[in-house]
Amino acid sequence: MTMTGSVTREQSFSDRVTENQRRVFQIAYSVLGNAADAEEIAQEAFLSAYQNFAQLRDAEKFRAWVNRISFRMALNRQRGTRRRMSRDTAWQTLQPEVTGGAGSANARLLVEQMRQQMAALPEKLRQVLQLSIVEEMEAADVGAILGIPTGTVRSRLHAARKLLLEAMQ
Amino acid sequence: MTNDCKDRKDSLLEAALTGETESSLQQHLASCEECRQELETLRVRRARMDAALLMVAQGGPQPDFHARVVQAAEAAGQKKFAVTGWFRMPRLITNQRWMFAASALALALAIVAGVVNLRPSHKLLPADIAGATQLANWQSPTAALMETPGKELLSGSPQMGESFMRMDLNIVDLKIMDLKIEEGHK
Ligand SMILES: [Zn+2]
Repeated sequence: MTMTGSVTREQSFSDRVTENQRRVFQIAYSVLGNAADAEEIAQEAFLSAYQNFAQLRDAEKFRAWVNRISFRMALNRQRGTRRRMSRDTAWQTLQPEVTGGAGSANARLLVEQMRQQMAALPEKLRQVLQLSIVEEMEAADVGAILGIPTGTVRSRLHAARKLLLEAMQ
Repeated sequence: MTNDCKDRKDSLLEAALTGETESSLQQHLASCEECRQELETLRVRRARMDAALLMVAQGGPQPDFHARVVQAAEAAGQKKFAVTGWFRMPRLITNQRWMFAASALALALAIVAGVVNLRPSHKLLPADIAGATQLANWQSPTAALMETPGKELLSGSPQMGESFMRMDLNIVDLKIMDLKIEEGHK
């Protein structure tokens, strides 16, 4: 038995949460635009990982798992929300909650406009963009979540930014 | 603005996005004030766009998030342990009980066969045996474990030595996901 082997399941799970929580939250937040919902999804993602922890002992596997699960759960949540509301009012309700230093009215307006423009993007471009803007997410991470090659991630990201730039006034 | 300028709309967008100006555009910019200004405007917009994009995903969970998750996981783990314990401990008893039930069924079948066909049979149908085996090996906690949102991912988990990232499953998965998204839009 090595020292690593003697680390308890609870301790290593706790470490994994510390390493991943900010990113996992941001993945859900990027999709949902609501901090409370994003936190709920992040928690569900970690609990799901905990239930399958025997197969996710490896830090990289854990990271890939929670990235993917939180994204998929967030998409599911969003679809459920959209089904309940008309598409026109969905974005008014899912308002971004910009907190801290970025909380100025101007910044909030800018973020709100950006969310609306992102909503108008083709699905495939939007998903790549949503994942790419998460901190510390490399093209390879985005590709792993969506199951597409890194090159495709880059070209879709470029296409998404181009459409957004064109739409900007 | 000349026709030549209109044709350069895409090049200007590309230049603003990548920060690189191709040589033919460079030459044009040297003699066209209008396009120089357009490029400058696009660059400012691009900076604003990227700032906004960063803010869309910015932030983190509440400070007590970690504690809440670990607590919830421990609670779920204890519950699971309790269930596992309940199912595992009487496993032998369950097996014995099932064997008794199977024997009783065999006996019942034999009696029925004897009465109706006047030909006693001690054999169970293969389907019954298969069903019994299945039931005897039934382990609810394992089934419950597999019923998580990451089921597809788990069932496709790589074997030893395989790389997690290279899973083809991702592509299939994405297609399913896309289909579901399309359905959702209908
Ligand atoms: Zn020009």
